[in-house]
Amino acid sequence: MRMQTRRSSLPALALLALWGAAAVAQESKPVQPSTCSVESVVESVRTGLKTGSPAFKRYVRSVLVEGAIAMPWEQLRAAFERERDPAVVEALGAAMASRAARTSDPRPIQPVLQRAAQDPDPAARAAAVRGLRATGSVENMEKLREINYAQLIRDTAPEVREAVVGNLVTESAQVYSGHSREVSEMAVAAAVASPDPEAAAKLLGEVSMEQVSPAAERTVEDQLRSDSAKVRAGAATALGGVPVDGAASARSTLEASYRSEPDPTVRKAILESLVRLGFQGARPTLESLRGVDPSMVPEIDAWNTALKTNLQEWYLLKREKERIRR
Amino acid sequence: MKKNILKYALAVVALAAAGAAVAATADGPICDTAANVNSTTYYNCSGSSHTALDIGNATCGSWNHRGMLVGSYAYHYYGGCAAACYGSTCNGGAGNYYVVSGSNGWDFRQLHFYANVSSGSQTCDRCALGLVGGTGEATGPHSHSDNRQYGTRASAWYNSVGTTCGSSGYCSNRVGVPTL
Repeated sequence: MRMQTRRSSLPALALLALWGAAAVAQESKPVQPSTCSVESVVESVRTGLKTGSPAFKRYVRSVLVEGAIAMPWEQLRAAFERERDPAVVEALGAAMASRAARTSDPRPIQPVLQRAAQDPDPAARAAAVRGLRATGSVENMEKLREINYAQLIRDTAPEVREAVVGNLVTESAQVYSGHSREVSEMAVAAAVASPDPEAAAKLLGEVSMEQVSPAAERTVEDQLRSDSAKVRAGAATALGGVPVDGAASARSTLEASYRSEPDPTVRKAILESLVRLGFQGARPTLESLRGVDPSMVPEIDAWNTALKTNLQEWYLLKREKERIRR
Repeated sequence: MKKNILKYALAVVALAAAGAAVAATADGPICDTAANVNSTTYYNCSGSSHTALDIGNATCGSWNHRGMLVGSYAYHYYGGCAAACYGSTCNGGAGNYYVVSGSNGWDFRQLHFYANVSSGSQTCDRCALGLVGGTGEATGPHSHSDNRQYGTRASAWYNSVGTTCGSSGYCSNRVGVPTL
């Protein structure tokens, strides 16, 4: 089982940050007392993000995020609005998103969303989007009713689209453990709105679909007719994770698509989703598809062998199949 | 060597997409330095089996009972219990409570809330979810928190960081690393 520790809280972070940044910037000079202000913390963060080790960069970002709830709001917002360095924009955006999360009030992310949509610098727009990562940003956007990810994904800059994808994938997995219908359906809407097939494919293929509505499932099924093989493969993967009520429809759509699909990577994704939807019950379907494409027979055999282990957790079954195919 | 690294990276990506469980961090639920742990694996650390943390500050209906998980999480609220400080029959003994659902059957629960305007399902980070109270099966006002997989309570999440009776339950003190 993969274990990873998320952010830990650090008491008295702001004072330590000032000390740490001073140490980085001045090295041999003795530490001098200074007044703690938003500006001084931001300068410490800027120095740390430029010159610190990866661990120290994480630390100074944590300082800002943990301290945001205690900072004067107007000063924090002004610091965010005048900042030009994308790394600091992202850290300040994360601090404002943290403030929203700590207070259950979506308004602190309003300036971040405005900047994500309107800043002339694509690097700053992408940084603002990344500032919202691993928070309840979809829920907050729905409350604010101003800007959402289906709009942001239409950005002309690839780094902004990439940031949107990263946010939705992370939010679905980390904040909701895949259980949020709102995040899944926003990912589907963003995939449909995306001008970039790679972004759409990643959204469909990596965001959990376990809570989507029948209407959203139909939208995903429609993506199986996309001109892009990557999008079709993403849609096929997505259909493997739909709720049990939609499994029968997904299964028949995937089976029909397999027979007419020309691309082997899409066929591979379809086989995987058929197994995910049916586990042992998928074996007759796999056998019925054996004659469609001889190049897929090793893949079908690998799934059959993995299914014989009778593993009951999807990620264990998938890992076993990947081990067989290596 | 590079091939092995690539294989490992692909395996990690595959596991992430498949929703493997991760370790979270849990801080104390009450921003009062008087808050401390009074039960862990056993009630009062010497009684019958409990396998959860009970944290209190000897108050009822006045101090915020906060979400304990560090970072944004979705707290699903199960309410409907009238205000109580010394127990009531409600929600199977849990009283007003929240559940954060993780992967592979893991969840993290906080029980016995005294409901107020903050009480309701929400996605937030250590926010006020209600007040410290004693709704449900409680002999006094406190916060009960547990980490379960398919309904079975685990103890490693608090034992592994040394939390025991008398440990601080203050809101910036790490009391455990639950799996989600």
